[in-house]
Amino acid sequence: MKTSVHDSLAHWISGSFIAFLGVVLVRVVAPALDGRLRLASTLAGQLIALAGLLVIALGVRRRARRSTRSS
Amino acid sequence: MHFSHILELFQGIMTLAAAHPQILAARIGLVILGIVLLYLGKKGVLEPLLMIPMGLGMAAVNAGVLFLDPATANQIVDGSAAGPNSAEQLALAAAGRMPGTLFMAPLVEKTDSLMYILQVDFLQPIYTFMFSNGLIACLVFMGIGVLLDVGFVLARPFLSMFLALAAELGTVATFPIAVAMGLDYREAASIAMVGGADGPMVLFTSLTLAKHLFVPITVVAYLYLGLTYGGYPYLIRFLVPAKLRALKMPARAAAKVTSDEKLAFAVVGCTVLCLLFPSAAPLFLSLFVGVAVRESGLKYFVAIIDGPILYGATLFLGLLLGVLCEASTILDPKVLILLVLGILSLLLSGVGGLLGGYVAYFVSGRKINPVIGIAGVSCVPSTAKVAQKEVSNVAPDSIILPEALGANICGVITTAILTGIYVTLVPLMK
Repeated sequence: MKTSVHDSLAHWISGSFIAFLGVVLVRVVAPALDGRLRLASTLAGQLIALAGLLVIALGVRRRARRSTRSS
Repeated sequence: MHFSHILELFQGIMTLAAAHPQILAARIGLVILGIVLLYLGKKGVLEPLLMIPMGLGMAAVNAGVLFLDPATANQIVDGSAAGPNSAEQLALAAAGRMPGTLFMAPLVEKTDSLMYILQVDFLQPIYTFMFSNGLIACLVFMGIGVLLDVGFVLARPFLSMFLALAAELGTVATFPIAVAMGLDYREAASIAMVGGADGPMVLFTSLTLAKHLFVPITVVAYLYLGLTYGGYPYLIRFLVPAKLRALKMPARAAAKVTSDEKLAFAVVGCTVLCLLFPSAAPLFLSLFVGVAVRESGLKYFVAIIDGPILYGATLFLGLLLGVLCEASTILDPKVLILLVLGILSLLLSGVGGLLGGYVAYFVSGRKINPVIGIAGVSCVPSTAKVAQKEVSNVAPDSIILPEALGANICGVITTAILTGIYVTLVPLMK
């Protein structure tokens, strides 16, 4: 049985990937840097991680609107 | 037997007579304030769930002062951090003339003294094991998670997130203003969080960053949060003309977000946010476990969290906040600054939210009602209800609640993120 999550799987996978990429930037890359580069990397990573969550939310919205139109 | 020995029966009054005039005035003032808060809670002007226990606790702790027995007094003085008056306090303690209460001793730190006090003061176990470690804030947040429907956020993610970010103006802008007014970075971050309009997060931040001021900061936060319901309508009417308030949102079929999607979002969101901000992980876990329990359909867990846990935590939170409002806490000179900054923070957040609403109005081609911006202030669901009420007053058939709730719920998440940022970054600032 296909679930609603399956319907927007591409968004879930890409959004999660982007979010965890941001996490890697913050928790792995940034601590290895110094000064302004570290700050920039931290901020960029946090924004990328939140963008990943937004991608997931957009996928859910797209799926919900599609199923509302088809019904 | 002398008359003065008979007076020893009424130590609440004897300790007033023996107190410094400032303490005497503060104690009487706090007893009256406690009664006023209780009255305002009963009348519904302020949130009764918090104000009734807080008001009564405040009145009782300032009335029920006695001269502690030498053993208990010694444990309190020995167990607390050394201060400028420690020698004088030790002398008073030994003579059995140190004033105190049997409610709790929040300044006791040493383990042995704490174990003694835990068996004497009736609220000490709750303070030590639930309050000072942030557990009570997390339990309230868990209850909030169970009440939230993140589907509103997922249905309109861009709008919800934008308005929630705009409504964090107070949380961000108050920080440099507070520093300019003489607070250090930790104190400034703690009072700036009042703009996030979320009590548990203010409590969590101030316990983490500014423990010495967490009582006045949290009391100010909860007092003002109760007032947003009364004050924000005027802000809306001042900034948004009636013609715009009456704007009807474009009709659209409700997008149905399934429980599976909400649960999956809660899992991914919780994991990512905990990885990004581990110092605020207790808050994220508490919020999203509530969401997960709700979307999994675990009715018995929902009933426990939504009932005994949420309301039990709220009751003891109010009671402890009231009991912590002793005269010596309020006489700290920083309290006046906190009163001003707290209201500024909430005001700026409301203004920021409405400005965000205006941006949404113009970007959407004048279709979105700007009033929904105020719902980005995360006092769930008060600000969403305030927004709908102000719109209904001018246009009874205009419904903005779904969009307002999306911004409202997203506001909780953005405030939690800001908590994580402050709690992580501020300790690194010198």
